[in-house]
Amino acid sequence: MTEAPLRNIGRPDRRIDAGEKVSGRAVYTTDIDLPGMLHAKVLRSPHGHARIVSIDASAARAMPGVHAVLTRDETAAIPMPVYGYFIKDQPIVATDKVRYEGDIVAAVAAEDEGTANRALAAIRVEYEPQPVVTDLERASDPDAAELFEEPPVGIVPKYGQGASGELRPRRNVCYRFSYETGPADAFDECDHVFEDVFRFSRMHHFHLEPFVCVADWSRKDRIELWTSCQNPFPLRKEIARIFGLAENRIAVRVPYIGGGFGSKNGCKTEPVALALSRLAGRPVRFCLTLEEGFLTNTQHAAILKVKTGVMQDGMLVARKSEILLDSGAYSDGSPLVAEKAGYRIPGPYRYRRIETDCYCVMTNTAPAGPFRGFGGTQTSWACESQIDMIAHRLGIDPYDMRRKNLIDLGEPFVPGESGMDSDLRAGLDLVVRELGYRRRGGLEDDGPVKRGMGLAIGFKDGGGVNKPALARVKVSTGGDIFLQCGTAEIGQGAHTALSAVVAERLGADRSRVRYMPVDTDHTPFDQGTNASSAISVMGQAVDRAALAARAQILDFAAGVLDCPAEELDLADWEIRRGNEAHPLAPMIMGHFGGTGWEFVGEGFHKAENSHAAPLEAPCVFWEIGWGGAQVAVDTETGLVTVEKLFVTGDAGRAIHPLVCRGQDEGAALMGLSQALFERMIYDGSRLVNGDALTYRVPLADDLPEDFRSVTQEQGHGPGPFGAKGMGEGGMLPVASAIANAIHDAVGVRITELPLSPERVLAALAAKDGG
Amino acid sequence: MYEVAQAGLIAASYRDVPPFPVIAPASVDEAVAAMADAEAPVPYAGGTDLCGAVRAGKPIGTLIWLKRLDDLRGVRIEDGALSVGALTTHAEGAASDATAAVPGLPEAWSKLGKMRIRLSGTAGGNLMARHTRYEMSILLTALGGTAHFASAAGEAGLTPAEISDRAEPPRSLLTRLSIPLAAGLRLDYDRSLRPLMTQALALWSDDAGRDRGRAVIATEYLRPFAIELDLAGTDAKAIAAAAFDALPAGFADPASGNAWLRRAGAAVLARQLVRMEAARA
Amino acid sequence: MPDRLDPRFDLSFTLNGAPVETATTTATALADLLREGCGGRGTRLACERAVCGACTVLVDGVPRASCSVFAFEVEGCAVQMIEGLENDGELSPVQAAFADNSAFQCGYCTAGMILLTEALLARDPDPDEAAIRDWISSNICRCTGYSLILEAVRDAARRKRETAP
Ligand SMILES: Cc1cc2nc3c(=O)[nH]c(=O)nc-3n(C[C@H](O)[C@H](O)[C@H](O)COP(=O)(O)OP(=O)(O)OC[C@H]3O[C@@H](n4cnc5c(N)ncnc54)[C@H](O)[C@@H]3O)c2cc1C
Ligand code: FES
Ligand code: FES
Repeated sequence: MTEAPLRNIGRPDRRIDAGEKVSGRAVYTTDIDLPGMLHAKVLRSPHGHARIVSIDASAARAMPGVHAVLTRDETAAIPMPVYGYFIKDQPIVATDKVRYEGDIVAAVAAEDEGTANRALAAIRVEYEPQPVVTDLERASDPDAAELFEEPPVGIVPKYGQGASGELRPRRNVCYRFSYETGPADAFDECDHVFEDVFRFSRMHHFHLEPFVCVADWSRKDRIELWTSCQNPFPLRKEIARIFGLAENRIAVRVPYIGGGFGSKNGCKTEPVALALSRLAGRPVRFCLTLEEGFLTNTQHAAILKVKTGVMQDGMLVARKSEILLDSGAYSDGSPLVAEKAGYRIPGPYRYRRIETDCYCVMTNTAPAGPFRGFGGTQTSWACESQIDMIAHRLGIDPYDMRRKNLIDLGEPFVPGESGMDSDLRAGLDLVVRELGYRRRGGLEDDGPVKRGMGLAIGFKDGGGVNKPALARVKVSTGGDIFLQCGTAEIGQGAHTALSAVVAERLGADRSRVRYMPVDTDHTPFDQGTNASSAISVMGQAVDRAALAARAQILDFAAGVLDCPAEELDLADWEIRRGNEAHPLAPMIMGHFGGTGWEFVGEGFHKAENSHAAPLEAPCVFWEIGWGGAQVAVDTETGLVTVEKLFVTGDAGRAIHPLVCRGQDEGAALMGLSQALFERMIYDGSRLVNGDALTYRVPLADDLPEDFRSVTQEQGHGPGPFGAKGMGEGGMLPVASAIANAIHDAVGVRITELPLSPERVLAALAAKDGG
Repeated sequence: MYEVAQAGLIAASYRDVPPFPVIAPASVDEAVAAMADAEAPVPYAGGTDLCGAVRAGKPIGTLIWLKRLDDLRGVRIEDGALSVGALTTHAEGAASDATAAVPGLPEAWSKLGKMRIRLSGTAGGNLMARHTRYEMSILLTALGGTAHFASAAGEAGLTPAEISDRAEPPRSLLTRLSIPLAAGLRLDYDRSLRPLMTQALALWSDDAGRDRGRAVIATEYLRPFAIELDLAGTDAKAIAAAAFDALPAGFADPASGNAWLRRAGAAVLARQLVRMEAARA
Repeated sequence: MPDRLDPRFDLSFTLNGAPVETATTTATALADLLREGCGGRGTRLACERAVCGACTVLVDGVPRASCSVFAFEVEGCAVQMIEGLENDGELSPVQAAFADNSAFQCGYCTAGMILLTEALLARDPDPDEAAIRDWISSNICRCTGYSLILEAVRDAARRKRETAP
């Protein structure tokens, strides 16, 4: 390989989806329209928890324009009409009970949405309301109502050193993940032990493209499905299991996805649409409203109890944590989030002893699932708040406290894990410089408005658990490149970055690469577009596929030119040998005939299994988000204004700098809004603000005056050209950095999100009062 | 955004609405006649809210499209009052020279919604949407304004609170808002805590030349609450504290509670008083 | 616009500069007319209640949420949607600025943001920072964190000024 300067890597040129997206031509699942397509709508439970006594859908069935009605009567004929990740507990439509306000009770497919809704209004359901469970801490009380009297089918995956899991460890808890390492008596040696409790609010993903699919099961032995879904292959497997159809009878296609942030994993709209399509014998489009999105998937609210043992000099020794995740009414991705939250709660620090239990608590609220940060947002909130709290208690600067305990570059996070692949101190020092943290003593107050600064380091393992990926690169006679892999373009820029890697390896311009549509019939297997894994995991598979194609091309040319392949290089679809250039097209046709040929390279990647690693395979890369904030706190109203927000991630190598920047800034703004205002407000089992007007998401004028990000390129990533994943890190440090800044400004500590004016003012009043 | 049918929640959509007749009257008289005669008439102005209301289950019998009623557009000074046509958009209203007759009103009005909404949303639609989170009723309450309705039964003037109570005559059209231009009338509107809370303060002199003031506190979920101020003292903080002692305990927002509203409201009011004093000086 | 429209009627307006005549109903939202009937699918729907602005189109130059505009309202008007901005396959300066600044991720808000920017720059070719934020705050983008969008708007203003006759 030559040392020529890279032509596709690190350049802020137009993304490959730019033309389609700025011209309106990009196709999303919402745009799919099939001949004869019907429209589905669903009836949802008005009760948080109730037994279904009877359902009478006869009037709906008789309505003109209605082609199928789905109730528990119909799903009874489906082989396994329940779904979920580890635990199959969510029915396609409710059977014996409804478990949250919004639970699906019945569905209709009709000529248009209006007809479907009118038919739903004609369905009669008799409910017998049950007491609701909404309080995380009381859900396991002996007198609490039970969401599931009978255990649903579930599995506990194989865990490695120190980790364990359990189904239904106690009442209304569907899963527990635990981890421990180090000597059990480590707390005994500590000079101080501090125990603090943190509360984390719940957001909705608020992806603009709704949950949507178009399902065609009009022919008995063939399913065609277009869906806004991040993991088409696991979805195919789940559909095959639910409906008892072979996987090679099911094609799942994923057009552009209009945002997901974690929500678009696993079954969402698909089972209802498929069941209706089978009943109606026609394709069915099922597009949720944005309001229904709130009732479909959310982030996990959480209570985190963190007990940390330290030495007088600030050295961390031991941490014991208990995390309660509000999983809502169905398990969805909760057990996976519990693994990650339980695993990430120590943060990027060195301890002798770690002990964690994380519980998925079922409540009569919307199901919670994967959300950008995947448990890491919850744990970074608690961990990074507590580090500051401990520093203050010990009279140490929070910066020094962090520096003292951060894991070194190359040092394993815990025994059996991979080494840290970022210089954590370098990132922290960058924040300190950019923010002017050392000069914060000189910040001027403004009457009742006080200023302060805070730091935080968000931390998560990236690249998924034990995640395999496969990619294929084909090159035609004329040098046109086809990239086939299962990473969906959900906005993160993966198609651009992966295409750049292929082009680079084949000595071509990126414009020669076409990223082929994701279709499980043709695309090689992939576990899913999640966990910031596109570059770090799929990138390695794609890189290998490109190198394999390149090797074939060079071998072929070496045969034709009768020389060792090592003497040859590939650039602009010519074989270069010293000063000679041999165009490939004539060479190929000379050998394969005038119809030409395609070179096909395949690449595979999976982290090695290892029982020494707690999650059975060492982490692919560590996703770090360093952040710092300057706030102004109005001590008379409690209003917190974030004046400066700085975040930085380590891309390892930024394949596309603007894509990296966009990921960090988008994530940071989500973190900011969670810190200050954005949350789902529940009143018992009722969601109070589940619509676009009252659920507040950040707008452009919510940006801090000074909002910046820097993409570090430390070069230690496992991906092509040293790249690491991006996309979640920028969110992780924001809330705690702001809480730390508030403490710096006014000396009060808020341990519950959001950091709303009434909480700040109440804390100030409590401080003054005592 | 849900219609709670007998058996549960249905995600309503504008696509549920069957087609309806549309009437586009050319004059207010025609509009009033249409409101009186048409089947289940629904007035339609900028449309920024109606679509949401339809999704929440509002039926449309006949749509009365107000677009041609140019008489109801614009801000004027008439008979010692500021007269705001119901169809005045937020963008037009905030930019109108007449609006400047109440110092502080242009600034306040220019903050209602973002540009896309301000270019289409109207003052009348804002009031008639009867959403606690919409702000025209806050400003109007503070300024002691009246909303004027026309119907086949004649004219009627209502306070914003009466509009919230749906006390306007049936089948009536909001034509204009009027704000009496009391001596020295001026406004300060503090939105820095929105959506948790916003607060308007109006000051003026009454006929006897006494300083008068009214503070209006509002939240996303509660109707605006007006407090008549006792301006006898000179200390802004004391005036504000006394005013907020009057805030009933029942004025408690689901998002923020009562205690915070009292304290933050008083703090904001004290600043508003100081700010307005400084502006006058 | 006649005084009275029947539930089903014929509508005529210009779409991206070309005349359109089509039968529709009074209850039809402009967004659905454009997406299902005569425009294209570049106008995207998300909240369907005037909040997010993903469905923004220009009606006589005014940015409006087409989910919340009845089709009948555009009788005789000029409607501009994202599909009409390209000139002979060339991106408009605003589109080009969005493309070059990577001012999008998932792209779902992008058509609305671009049209909003077109409307802003038609009114004010040299908007200050406050005006840009005020306008862009009209619409929601959940992906980008807005910074790159704001840069694209500034860049678009520059490009338009430079190419202006
Ligand atoms: C995203 C978004 C953000 C917003 N932000 C704000 C904000 O920050 N502050 C704020 O105050 N408001 C805000 N609003 C509300 C906005 O100001 C109102 O929607 C707007 O003023 C309504 O006016 P319209 O002409 O569009 O009403 P329409 O939608 O046309 O009508 C609204 C209601 O009023 C009735 N109506 C309209 N005109 C009359 C009349 N003349 N007589 C009788 N009835 C009538 C209609 O029948 C309908 O029920 C926001 C709205 C949206 C969608
Ligand atoms: S879809 Fe029209 S504004 Fe959101
Ligand atoms: S790019 Fe996804 S919403 Fe803006």
